[in-house]
Formats: sequence, C-alpha cells, structure tokens
Amino acid sequence: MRWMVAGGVLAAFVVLALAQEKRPGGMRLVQVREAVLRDKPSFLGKVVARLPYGAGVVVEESRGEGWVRVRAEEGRAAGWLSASALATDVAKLKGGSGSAEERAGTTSRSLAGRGFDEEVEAKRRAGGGDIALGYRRLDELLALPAYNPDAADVPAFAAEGGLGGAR
Amino acid sequence: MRCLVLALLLAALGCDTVNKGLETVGVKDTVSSKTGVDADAAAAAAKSLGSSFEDMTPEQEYYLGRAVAAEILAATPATGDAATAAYVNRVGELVAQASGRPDVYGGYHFFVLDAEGPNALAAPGAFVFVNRGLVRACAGEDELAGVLAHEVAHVARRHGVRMIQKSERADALLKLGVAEAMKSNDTVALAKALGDLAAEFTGTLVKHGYSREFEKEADLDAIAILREVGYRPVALPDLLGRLDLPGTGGGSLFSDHASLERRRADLAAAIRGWPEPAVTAARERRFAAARDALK
Repeated sequence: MRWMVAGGVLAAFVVLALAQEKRPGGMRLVQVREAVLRDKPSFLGKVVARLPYGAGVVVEESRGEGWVRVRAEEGRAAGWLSASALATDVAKLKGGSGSAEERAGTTSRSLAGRGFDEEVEAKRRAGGGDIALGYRRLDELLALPAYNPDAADVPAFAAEGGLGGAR
Repeated sequence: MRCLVLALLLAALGCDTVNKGLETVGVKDTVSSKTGVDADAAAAAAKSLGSSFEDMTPEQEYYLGRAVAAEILAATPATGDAATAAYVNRVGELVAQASGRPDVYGGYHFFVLDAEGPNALAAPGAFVFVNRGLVRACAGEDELAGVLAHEVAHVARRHGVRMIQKSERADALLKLGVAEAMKSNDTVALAKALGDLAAEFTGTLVKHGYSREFEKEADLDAIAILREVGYRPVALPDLLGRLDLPGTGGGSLFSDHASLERRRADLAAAIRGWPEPAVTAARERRFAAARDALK
C-alpha cells in the first residue's frame, strides 16, 4: 500500500514537472513597446536586455505563472519574460484585417478593422476643447521621469523596503 | 471626486443626447434615417469593429486608455508634486511587475489626482488614477500597494475592455459612427463615435465602477500580489474597514456595487492563515514623506 501511495505521488510530480517544463518552441512577436528580459522567471530578476515592439523571439522554455524563456531572432538577447508581452502571430499584432491602406479607407470592410489608434486620437485632438486639454495634460505628465517607472528599478526598490520575502 | 464625477457626467450628456434616438427607435432604423447608408452593411462593419475589441491588441487598448485618461485629466488635473508621483509610480510598478500581466504596450502609469474623495480608478491600457484623498487615507505603503494592486488587477484582467464588449450602448454608438463614416467618406465620424464611446465609458466607470464580479476578482488578485511581493495582505481589508467608518467618505472607494464590509469580510477569510510580514522602518519613512508632501 505504501509503495502504491509513493508511486502515485511520484507520478503526480512527473505530470506536474512536465506541465511546467514544456518546450513549445515557435516564433513569437513582442507586442509591447519595450519588453524586458530578466535573468530568472521572477519580477525580482535582473533586467538583462530589452526588446522593441515587433521584435521576433523564439520561445525555448515555458514555465507556470506565465514566464517564458526566449532568444531574440536578431542579436544575442536572451532571457525570461512575461508571456503577456508576446503575440502569437502578425495579424494579432497589427489588429483588424487587411493592410494599413485598406484599413485607412471608409468602406464597411475597411472600417471593420479599425479601432482606437493614433489617427483617431489626432482627429479628436484637432477638434480642440476639453478633450484636447486632457490629452495635453496627459502628454505633459508622461514626459516626466516620475511617471515612467522602470521595471529594472523594481528589485532595488523592493529590497530597500524589506520586500521580496515571498520568493 | 464628486467634482470629477459631476464633470464627467456633464461631459457625457452630449452622448446621451445622441443615444436617446438609439434607445427609443430601433438602431437599424436610426442608422438608415440619419445617414441614408445601407444599415446592414454598417451594422456588419460595426459588428466586426465591436468584435475587434475582443481581440483588441495591446496597442489599441493603450489608445483607448489614453482616451479615458484624457477625459479624466480634463476634468481633474494631477497633483504637482513630482517626488510623490515618482514614489507612487515605483510602488505601482512593483505590484504591476508581480501581477499576471507585467508587460503592457505603453507601460503602467499611476496618477495622483488633485481630489479629496477616497477613490481610485483603472483605465484600460494601464493608466491608473488615485485621488490625493485616498493616498492620505492610507496608513502606510502596504495599504497604498493594496489599492494600486487592486487597480492593476483590473488592467491585468482587461476588465475595462470586457466591460465595453458587453455594452449595447457602445455597440449602438459604433453602428452610427460607422454608418456616418461610410456616408461622408471620412473617418472623422468614426473618430467622433469612438470618442463618444470613450467618454461614456469613462462616465460609467467613474459613477458605477466595475461590476461586483470584477471587483471581487481584483480584490483577490490584489491580496495575492501583496503576498507575492512581501507586503502585508491584511493591509487591503484593513483599509476597506477604515473607509467604511461613518464620516470617512466610505462607499465611494472603487465601487458601491459590493459593500465595503462584505468585501472586507471576504478578504479577511481569504487571507486567514497567511504569513504576516512586518512593516520595515524604511517603508514607513518613504510613505510618510510622500503622504506629507500631499498636504
């Protein structure tokens, strides 16, 4: 009986380990303006590289809690990042369907691919009024370093406050 | 916060005028009579546009968030203290990095609004707003982190985008905007429709907050984040309990859909048996400096 229990526990560990150590491979694209690569799968990991929007990466390992180990297609950058930073295909990255020219049109088909974007914002700002004031205030604040926290500073800020103990 | 609510509601009045026709008359009839274009084609395009919210890219969500943020900042400016803003953004970034969605298109940004009511709000695209009055109501960094973690959880779970997807009024605004754009062969009408949608969404969010279900999800995510980072998870129910006291403006925090007392009790039950790390002097010091600068 004891061996059966032990065998069951072992099997459970193997299943768990397989689930957490998947090796999916495949190419993904960075879908955020800047993705930070860390030296370990943790928000307290040291930032070792940064990849721009649209950069291609190869996923080499996938862990639970949404972390993936990737290697950049171009250059030598490699490390761990959140899977939330990656799109699975180009269409998903660009949004909607059709080319940029098609999407700029006003047919029912082209309009279907539209949504909130830079052009929509520019047209609203051009109208002036309160919304233009709101956008101006937003951009003034976003231009200040205080409103642009860097993920690379997180470990030091946590350590200073005696945090990070759960890891 | 009341000023903000009032201002946003007033701003949304324009949209209400547009929408009255859509509520009383069939949307299809309204689109046809107002624009003279093929209502079925416009409806099909609007439907695709609406469903594109389902697959909204992080970039599109960012621009939606900018639209909401602009509505909010037009009504209420942020406080001018740069050191406090930097501190709140560092705490926010810490809890955001420990969340289920640390990477968003334009990064997380946290704004302290020049308003007294103890309130906070998360817009899509990772724009988080917290009133000066709420920062001052916090007893320490752990409570502030609890508030910010709750708002980050709304962003991480895309509650804002999902709320728009469910909205029939958003759908109606899109149909009209698409039809107008087809008629005038110009996307200005579509920009206006999307702007109206953003304004109305902001007004709803400020007035009613997220649904009870979304608030509960955000509460539970928030205490998980606090635990992961090493903050005291009990800080969030502690804050909710204190805001519920008479005379402290209780009821306006996040939402009045779920009573603060029920949320506090749910959280207290969830964290039973969890470790309770100590608050360090360094944490107390840096929070006190930021709070005092807001006086």
